[in-house]
Amino acid sequence: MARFENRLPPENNVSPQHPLMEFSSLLAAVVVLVAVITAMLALGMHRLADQIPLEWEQSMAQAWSDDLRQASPAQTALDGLLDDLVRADPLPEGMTARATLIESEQINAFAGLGGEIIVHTGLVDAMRSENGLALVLAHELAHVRERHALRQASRHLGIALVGAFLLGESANMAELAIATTELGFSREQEMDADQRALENVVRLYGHLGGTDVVFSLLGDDVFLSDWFSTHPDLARRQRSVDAAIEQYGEGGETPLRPQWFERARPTSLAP
Amino acid sequence: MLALGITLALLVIGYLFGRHAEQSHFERLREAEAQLQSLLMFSEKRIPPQFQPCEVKLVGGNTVIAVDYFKVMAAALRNFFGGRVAAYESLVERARRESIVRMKREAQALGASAVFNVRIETSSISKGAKEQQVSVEVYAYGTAVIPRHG
Repeated sequence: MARFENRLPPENNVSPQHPLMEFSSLLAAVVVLVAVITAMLALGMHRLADQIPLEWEQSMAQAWSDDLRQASPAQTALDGLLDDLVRADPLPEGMTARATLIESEQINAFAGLGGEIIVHTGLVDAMRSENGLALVLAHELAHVRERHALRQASRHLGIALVGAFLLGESANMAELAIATTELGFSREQEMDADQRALENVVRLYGHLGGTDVVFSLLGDDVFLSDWFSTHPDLARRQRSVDAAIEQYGEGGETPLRPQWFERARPTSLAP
Repeated sequence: MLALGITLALLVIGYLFGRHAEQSHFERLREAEAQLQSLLMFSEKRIPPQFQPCEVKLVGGNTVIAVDYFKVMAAALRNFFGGRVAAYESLVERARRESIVRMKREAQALGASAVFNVRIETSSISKGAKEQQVSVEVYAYGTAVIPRHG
């Protein structure tokens, strides 16, 4: 019987590594991997935006100019200013821009897909001169010209794709991506738009008089608005405006004509 | 956001309870194994003459161990990169050793001195069923050798 014996069960079948260590290192690796893929996809989609035909963009756009537009002298004045800016710096072949004035106290203006621009009446009221308004409108027009909204939508679509892959949700991805463009444009896009806007205001008026007020208005806490919150680095942008004013000089301001204040009766903004 | 919170809570609960259950289970296993050490166990089919004359009986022990949420997540992460799934190693180890202990206890109750031809079977409960927690079953069985003198 002495020949027969058992040893105690070995303890070598379980890896000695602490489970939390393994878990956290794996999780970190996955997070890094997902981040890299997301960044690459976002960048790729951003680049791809240039290849999307204008008609496609227009079919995706929310038609503010159809849904929200109300005929009024103020709207006509806005159309006129936009036409002047487009004449000063024509848009690329096939591209159109439409500005819509909506009744709102917010000091705000923004550009969406398909060349749609919204201007709040609050912005018009806050401006002392047509020059300042022209700068803001030229800024939004620059977003349209460079198709910034589409680029942002494409970038967010890339991110949404990864999110959908991870979470298994595919519903309304494109809509989600377009909705997130309301989060605003990138800092570079804003700076580019500023530069182009300043040049176009000079083309239109020959000088930059009356534009310095724009950023001080937006920087003022009283007028803290969406336009401000989606436009970071206000001080830096103010400096570039100051530099441009130094370069191009200031002339007499063009006052806002009375028709800018003849508005359609107020209606609620569609969601 | 809610889903994320639930996932996180499940992870923490899974880890705390799972870890506690695992460590105390290993403690109990070591104790029981030391106790049953004198009852011999072999994979050999034939019963050597040293154990004869004898009476033989089939004995077995069965264990099912469930995976906790933390282990599921850890294994899912491991699936990304490949390699040893350490989270499941301890699970199978516990099931195997517990089954053997149970088999030996049965043999002991029968007055056996050894178990020959020990075999281990395993199966995964709820295998193939989607979105269900996995449990592993291990069944250990063998031939208990009960000495008969005379």
